[in-house]
Amino acid sequence: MMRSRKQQQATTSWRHLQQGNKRSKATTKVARQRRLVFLFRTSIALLLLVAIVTGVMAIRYFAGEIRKDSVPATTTTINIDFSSDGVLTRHWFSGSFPDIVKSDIRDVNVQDLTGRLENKGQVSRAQVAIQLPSVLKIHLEERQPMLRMRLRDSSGSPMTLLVARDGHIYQGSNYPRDTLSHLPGVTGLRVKQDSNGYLPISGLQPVAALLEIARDKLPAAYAHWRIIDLTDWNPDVDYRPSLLKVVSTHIDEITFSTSGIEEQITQLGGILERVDRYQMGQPKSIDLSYGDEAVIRWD
Amino acid sequence: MSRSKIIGAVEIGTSKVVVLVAEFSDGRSMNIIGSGQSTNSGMKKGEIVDIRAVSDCAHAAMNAAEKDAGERIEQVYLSMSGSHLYGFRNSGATAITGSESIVTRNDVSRAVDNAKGKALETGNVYIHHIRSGFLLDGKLVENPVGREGSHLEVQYWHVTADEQKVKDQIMVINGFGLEVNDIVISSLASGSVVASEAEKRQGVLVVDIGKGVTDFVLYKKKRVVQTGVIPVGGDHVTNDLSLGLRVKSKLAESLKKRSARAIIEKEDRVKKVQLVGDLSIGDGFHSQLTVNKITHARLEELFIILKNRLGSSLTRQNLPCGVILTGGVSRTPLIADLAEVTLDVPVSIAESPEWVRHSELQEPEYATVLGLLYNALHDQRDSAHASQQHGRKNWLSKVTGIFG
Repeated sequence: MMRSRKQQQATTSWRHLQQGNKRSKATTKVARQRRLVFLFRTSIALLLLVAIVTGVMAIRYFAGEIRKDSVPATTTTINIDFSSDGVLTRHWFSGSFPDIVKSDIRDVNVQDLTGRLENKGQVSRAQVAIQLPSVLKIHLEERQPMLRMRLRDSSGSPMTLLVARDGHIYQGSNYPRDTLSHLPGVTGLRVKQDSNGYLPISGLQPVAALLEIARDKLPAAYAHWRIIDLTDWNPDVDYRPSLLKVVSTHIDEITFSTSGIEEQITQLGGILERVDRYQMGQPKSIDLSYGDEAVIRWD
Repeated sequence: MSRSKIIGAVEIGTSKVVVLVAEFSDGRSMNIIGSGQSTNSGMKKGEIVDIRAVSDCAHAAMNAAEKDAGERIEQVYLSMSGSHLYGFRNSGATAITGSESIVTRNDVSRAVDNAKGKALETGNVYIHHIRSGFLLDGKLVENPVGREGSHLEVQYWHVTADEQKVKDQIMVINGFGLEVNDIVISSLASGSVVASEAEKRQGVLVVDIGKGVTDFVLYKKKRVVQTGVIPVGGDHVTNDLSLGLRVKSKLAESLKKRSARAIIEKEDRVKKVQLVGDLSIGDGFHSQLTVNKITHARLEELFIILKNRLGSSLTRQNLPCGVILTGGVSRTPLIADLAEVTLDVPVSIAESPEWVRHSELQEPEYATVLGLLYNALHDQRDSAHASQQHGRKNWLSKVTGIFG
């Protein structure tokens, strides 16, 4: 009974009249325009929304791609292309610069690395270049050791340093034992140092010339040279006398003047030949610093 | 976050369509943000005779209001008038069946269903069911639930309308791409803003005299006691003037607005009024007395019809606050005096409510649309409250659901 009443009520209230017939005869131009404007605005809004969503997705996609690209670079180790005109090797570089080997190639500062390499006394010139994506190209020009020098460090422990032709003093690396054992030692050399290490010694050209000419012209005699005594040597050319004294296995002291080295070597050669030819016995000392004359002393 | 709704109040009147657009925030406050008007040419006596013409006018007004507001209307509150509206009182009763004779909600629902369940003639639909009060064993009570009694009766004032005419008006709104959220009859709409709560409590009759029809609503004890529509309005005065003075309707309308008075005065005998007012060809002078006589006669007739319709309800004892006149015709000079003489109750011209600040909206023509918005505000408050309750109930049921 109650249900039938409710049904009756439902059919007799205006609220149950059907609404929403937009295509009736009551539709006007104004209403159609309004609908079109609404559709247009909705479409624009939708398009804008789609554009924004697409834009955001595109940005996220490309950001992901960039990230993907960059991932191998960070995980791949640096490939070191190392070359040197001396004894230094790639292994030496890895041991001396572990931070560079472990770092990202993009983080390598070429200038800084070049400076650090050239601060090693053994390296006279370094060329560093990066070849992306992962190659670090290094080429070194090395100094050649001319003399060995033994010093004591701040703790009193003995250490061996090498002296290059240009006067640089450095701790040599990777040299074969033979090379070092054949180098003459040096004494009487006053070395100075600062926070970066030992300062180069200037004016060592006469010493270098002495050793090179002797090695070329008198290799047998040179092989016995053990110590170069620079106690009386002075790089100042105006200072006289500036003497280079060589201690050999057989001759206790061979004294050279810093000028006319080649002549003195020739003279020494002649003396040694005469001594040998005439069986004069081993001289104790030879002083060649007097120009044309030589003072030879026997025991 | 505040939720706002854009609501349009639409009055499709005989002479014009008036639209107001308001923004409702959280169902608590209302801000009128736009208005639109358009002259209506497709209606007669509050009923649509040419749906295309009415649609054109209504859509133009709604479009203008939307443009003025800068917002799209989301919901429409529509006023309804016309002689097809019919009001009647019907009560429903039930016996209290509980063992202790305590009135329960079920008893109330049964009585309400009985009151609302009256079948209508084919082609009629209910517009409103307005509850007048409960009678518990013959005594008027506000809320009978929980009280003791044996017989419960509920009284309703029902308003019905011609189904086709309601459909036509809805179709006009639908044609604009909107649906009608609620329909409020014009008298209730204008009465809700024109009469104060105190006046409604003491008893007041609000009469809205429009161009085509006159709507009225009678309040007593803050309840709507009676509503009605009289198919007489300002147009009848215009027609009478047109026939009586033998001038075109347009000129008669202009003359009515400029010179017509509801009461005949002595000096009217010698006074002349210009037909057009600019001494152009066709302009002429007419007697003020004739104009006023015609106006007086028609308006007096209107008030007599009203008096007859209301019968014994229209007494000074029943209506301490008298009659409030509103609508466009209420601007006719001395109409309140005529109404007072005819109805024999105090009569005043409606004043706009205080919350309406815009001077244009204080005109009597806007009373109905303002009333629609006022009703809409109450609806929104109720629905906001209901949704809050619903939300709370859902939350509670979820919690209780945990325990099976």
